[in-house]
Formats: sequence, C-alpha cells, structure tokens
Amino acid sequence: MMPAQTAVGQGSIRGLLVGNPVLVKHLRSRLRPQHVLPLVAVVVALSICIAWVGVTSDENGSAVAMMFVLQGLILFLVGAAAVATSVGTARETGMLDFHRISPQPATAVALGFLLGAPVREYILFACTLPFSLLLALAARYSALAWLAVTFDLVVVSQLYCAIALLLGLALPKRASATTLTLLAVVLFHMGWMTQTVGCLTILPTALGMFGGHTPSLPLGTAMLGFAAPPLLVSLLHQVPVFVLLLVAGARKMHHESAYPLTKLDAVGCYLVAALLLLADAPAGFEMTPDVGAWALCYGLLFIGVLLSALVTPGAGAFAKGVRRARKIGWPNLGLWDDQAPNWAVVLAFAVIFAVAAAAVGTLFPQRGWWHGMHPAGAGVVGAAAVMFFGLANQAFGLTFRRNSNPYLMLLLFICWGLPLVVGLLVLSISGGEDATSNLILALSPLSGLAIMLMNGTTASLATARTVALVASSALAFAFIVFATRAVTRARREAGEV
Amino acid sequence: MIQVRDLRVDYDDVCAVRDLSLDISPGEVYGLVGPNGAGKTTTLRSLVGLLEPTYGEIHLNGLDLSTHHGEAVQHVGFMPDFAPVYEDLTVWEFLDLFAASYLIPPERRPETIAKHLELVDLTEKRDAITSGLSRGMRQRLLIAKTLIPEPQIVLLDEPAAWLDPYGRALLKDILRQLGAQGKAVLISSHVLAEMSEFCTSIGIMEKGRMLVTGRVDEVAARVLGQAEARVEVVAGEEICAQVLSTHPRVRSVRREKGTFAFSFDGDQGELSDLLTALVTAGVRVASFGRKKEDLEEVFLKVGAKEVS
Repeated sequence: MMPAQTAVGQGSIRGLLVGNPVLVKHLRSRLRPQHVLPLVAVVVALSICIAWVGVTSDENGSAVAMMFVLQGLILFLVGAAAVATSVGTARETGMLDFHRISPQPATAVALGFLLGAPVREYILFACTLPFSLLLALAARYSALAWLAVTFDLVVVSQLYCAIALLLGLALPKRASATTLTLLAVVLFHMGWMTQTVGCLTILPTALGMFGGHTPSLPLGTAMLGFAAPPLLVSLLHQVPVFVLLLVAGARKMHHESAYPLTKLDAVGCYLVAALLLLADAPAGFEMTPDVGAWALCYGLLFIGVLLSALVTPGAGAFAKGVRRARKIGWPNLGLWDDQAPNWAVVLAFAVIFAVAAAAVGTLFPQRGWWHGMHPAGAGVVGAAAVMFFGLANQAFGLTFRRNSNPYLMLLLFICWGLPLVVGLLVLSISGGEDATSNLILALSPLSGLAIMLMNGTTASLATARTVALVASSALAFAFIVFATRAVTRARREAGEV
Repeated sequence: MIQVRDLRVDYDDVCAVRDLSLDISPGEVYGLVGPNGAGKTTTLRSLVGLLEPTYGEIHLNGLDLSTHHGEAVQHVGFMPDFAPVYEDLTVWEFLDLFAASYLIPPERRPETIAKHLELVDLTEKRDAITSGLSRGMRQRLLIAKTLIPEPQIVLLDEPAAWLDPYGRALLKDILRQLGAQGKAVLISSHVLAEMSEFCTSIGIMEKGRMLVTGRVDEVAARVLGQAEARVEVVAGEEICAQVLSTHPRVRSVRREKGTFAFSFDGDQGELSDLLTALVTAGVRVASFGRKKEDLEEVFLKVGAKEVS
C-alpha cells in the first residue's frame, strides 16, 4: 500500500451518529423555528386539502398518489437539493477543510451532512405521515403496505441525498451539484421501465403494494426469474448503490483530491451492477422479450465508461505516483494503486462484461419468436468498447494532459458517433433494412451492440456482426498499443522533472 | 514538535514545494516568509494533510501524519488564509461545533468556549449570528476556533490579514502567550515588520525551496552581516569615542552628534560588558543596544539571491 493512500476513518454506527458535530450543526441551523414553522404550516395545509379530497370522494387512490407525490417532492427534490447545497457551499467556502483536519472520521462528517442537511425536509415529511396513513386506510390498503411504501420513501430519499453528497463533493460548483442531483432524480424516474433503474425509485414498491400484481407491469416482482416482494427487490438494488455512494462520499470527504473509488472498489461496483442487471433480465424478458439483454449490455457499457473515467489517473497524479514510488525504492506503482494506470480495472471490466453478456444468453434461453440474438457476441463487442474507452481515456490523459477531454470527445465522435449517424442516414435513405447501412452501423460499438442483440439470422446481419466484432476488437487493440506507449513516455518524463 | 523531511508537493506539472526540511521546537514561533507563489500556503496545507505530498515525511508531535492523521491533527490548530465561517450559526454554536469536533467532552465545552471568546474579546457577541460580524471580528472568531482544542502546534496562514490595529495587537499578544506556553507556532505572513516582533525563527522560501532558515538573529547576521549597535550619549562623548576605538570587538565607528553607531561582532554578553565599561569610564548613556533585525531587508536580500 502506498503511504499516502487515503483512509476514510472508522467507528461504530452509534459512534458515528450520536453527538455527531456536523449533524448537531445542521439540527441547529436548519431547525430554527422562524424557518421551520411557516413551512410546516404550508405542508399541513396541503396535506389537509389532499386528505379532504381523498376522504370525501371516491378517488381515494388518486389522493394516496397525490400524497406520495407531495412526500416525494419534499424528500427527493428539496431534501436532496439541501444536501447538495450544504455540501457544495461548505466545499466552495473552504469549511470542509476545517472538518477534514479535525479528528472526526470522514464517514462521520459525511453522515453528518447526509442526515443533517435534509433534516428540515424530514420534519415536513413527518407532518404528512398521519394524513398519508389516513388516506391509505380510507382507500382500503393495509397499514403494512403503507408502512412498506413509507419506509422505501425514506430509503430512496437517502439514496438521492447520497448522490447529492457525492456530486457536492466532486463538482467544482454547488449549483452544478444541485442541478445534476435533480437531473439524476428525474432520469431515474424516466428510466423506471427497466427494472434495474426502476428499483432506484419508489415506483416498484408503491405499484407493487398499492397497485397489486399487474402481469403487464411486473416491476420489482422478480429476480433471476423468481417472484419476490417488491420492497425486498427494491432494497436489493437501493442498498448496494447507497453503500457505494457513501463509500465514495466518505473518500472525497477525507481528501479533496482523492478518487471517489479505489480501483478495487470500482471493480466490485461493476460486478454488483452486472449481477443486478443479470438478475433483473428475466423481469424485462417477461415484458418485452429482449429488453433484459439490451438493458444489461447498454447498462454495463454506460457504467463501465463512468467507473473507468472515475478511477483513471491524470498526468499529474500519475507522475506524482511514479515519483513517490521511486523515492521509496519501488520500480513501479502497484497495479491497483490510485495513481497507477487503469489497465487492471479496464481488463476486469471487459471480463465481467463478456461473462455477464454470455450468461444472459445461457441462463435465460432464447424463446421462440425472438430467436437469433447473439449475447456472447455482444459481450465481445461491449468488452472491447469498455477497453477502448478506458485505454483511450488513459492514453489521452497522459498525452494531452489537461486538454485531453476535447481530443477524447473527438475520438469518440469519430469512432462511436460518426458510423452511427452515417449508418442511420443510409438506412433512412434506403427506406428500411439495408446491408450497407448495417455494415456502417457495425463499425460503431454503440450500434454494433444493437446488431448483436437484434433478432434475425440473415446473411447481411451475419456479415455486419463479423464487422462489429473485428472493428471493436481492432480499436481496443490499437489503444492497448497507444496506452502502453503513453504510459512509458509519461513514466520517463516524471523522472525528469 | 514539527518535523518535515524532504517534502515535495506537485500540482500537475508544477513543483510547488521541493525537498523542504523543517524543524520547529516547542516554544518556537517560526515565521515562514516568501513572495506569492513561494510555496508557503502549500507547505502549511501539507502539514495538516489537506494536500497530499508527492513524497516526504511529516511528523507532528512525533506522529507520522501519513499513518496517524487523526491523532496527529488532534493537537494542531490551523487557520487558513481567507478562512470561512458557517454563516447560519451563532458565534457560540460555531465554536461548540469545533469543540465537539476536537473531542472536547460536553461538560467542558461551555467553559472552554467562554475562555476563548474572552481571549479574542468576543464575549459580548456569543449569541450573534456569524454573518453579522465584521471581517475583523470573524478573523478573531477564527483565531478562537483555531485555539479551541488547546493545540500544541499552531499553524496560521496570514492571520493578520483583515485585522484592524486592535486585532493585530491582540494577535501579537496571543502569539507571545503561545510561545511562552511552549507551543510550536508556524506563521506565514507578508507583514514582515510585525513578524520580527514575535518570531523567534524564520524561513524564507522562494519557488518552492527554503532559501534560508534559522533563528532570526542568526539569519539576519548571515544575510546582513553583524547587526549594527548604537549608543546615545548625554555626556562624555570623547571618553565614549576612546573606549569604542580601543575595544577589540568594535569596528567602523560612526559618530553623529551624541550618537555612535558601530559594528559589533561579539555576543550579547560581550555587548553588555561594553556598556559596563562605558558607564564605568564615566560616560552618561541615554540608550544602548543593537539595531533590531529588519526582516524586510533580510527578505529583500535573500530574494535578490545574495545569500551564498
């Protein structure tokens, strides 16, 4: 382990919460009566209106939904925004530095912000609870169902607050953190049709508990093809993501320049994501046959790109690591060191991608009319795409330093975007399926994945699939060479400064 | 108490601090001076773990910062340049937050906070919201916050900035007290004239390197040569001129009305003996002593690379 590896601090859960100074700070500043009482009055008035509508009309179900919307607005939007603003302000002003140099463990400080910043919103949420229960009972839902949904509301709100915490710590401006947090909340709700994304919202639990089982909408009711209670399925998704965000938040809280995740953390996250997407695939299959495999491949591509970007060291960090290693007499940085090149992570991601994609085809055999899908081929294309992005990011970061992003974007546009756009244009001109357009589309891994996952066994599709395999593998190989050269050069230059 | 060995800090392509070594003992008030960009703030931030060094060892109170961060910083008070406050807390709540953060038991906190509010003369403002404080008051509040954990090591980055004359006098008094209490104080400032009043040692940095370091008088002597001594005489000018011209440690005597200026290459004891000799010879002395080291002059000479 390198000497300057960040430590996050430890302590029992009780020790982290009871008397937590940052939590107490928020209780004091956010719960001053002159700020809380007017808001309580507004929320109680709104709750009374909704409850009155629910109790006096036949539309009990709608009133219950309206109440959950109100609670969601308070917790998900206002609460998460409060965390992003509080952390972002503390970071911008430099207050976080005072916490970083105090003997408080970083986890305690992170929890102080996570639980403390939205405390006013929790008070407002608590004010709505009697009305919410009243409405649920009036609509003849069980108290247990109400309790399950209410519990999940709190869990989901903490998940969004954890996103806000991490963004507040990682982004340079607090306004960007707040905006991106709200955007993430909206995007989760827009992607609810996919079980893995849907389970990061309250919808599967709410629909499962209050809506009953709807065959056409089996969200949150199955994992690995087995039926399970919606709350359990949701928690199986929400808890790992929350833990990941908390770990990343605590690392950033400990040190401004720390990477949110270690390389091993990133591989662990990718593995968990692959397992969840794999387990959720049958739920998608039931709805539309191939959506689970599509969700798995594109989900793993997106997550792979995101995670590899998070753990790829820039030129400065890499040079720092090389100098430190030399000072203590090491010939090279450890493979999993924060400042080491991202080889190991990228390779691990590629293996996980390929195995998960192959497994989706093996575990859930293809059925009747959608025969012809090629999940194993998609695994190769996807694995090569993740490797290509990770290695290109590493190579460009070391070569072009701070100016690397525009060049990387240009490369991605040429390799990923251009064939997609041109292929779609050719397809639209030809007015339907066309061998040429398929060949062009196969050059981009984005559409190459789709070609692998499409139904059909025609000769033109088989050729396009071969092109997709060759093109994605060639790009990955080219960047293995480029990244190796960039690392060798950067290592030599680090010793010269 | 503060030991730094071969510290190097890089920002991407820029080496902000290069192979810096530093020792600050208990009771020492060490002034770190240098032009903007010299690496003073980087050094201070590295000493509390806010910046990750490329390499180098930092020991605070004998604890290695890289392996015992929590314990090492527990007895360190740090006040950065442009230090902020939580604007939605009262003065008392702000200090209570950091008293709790530094693990001061709840029953001791009211007494500790009251003591430090008195130290910086903010007792009357204990229930005021910090956003309503003047800039100088905020700076005093931050000094109180820095001293709340009763640190053995105090690191102050430009603490006199924003302080009015009253605040500066208060700060000087506090720094002298800290030195007298045996605490190690590291202070970075541009106000060199004031630093010479309370610093026992200085280090001059430029472009990330420590150019010269040591006790103020030693550094001044190295840089400027022997400090000039002066004697102001009420009566017996001729006797005084004779005594000075025959003294083995005295060089280059200049005479202007009743004042004699001369180079003296002896220590303080020998200087005291010279005064006794003058008085015994019948000279009536109005004032006597070495000229105070002019840190500004030292800094300019070092900055001009006149140190060999």
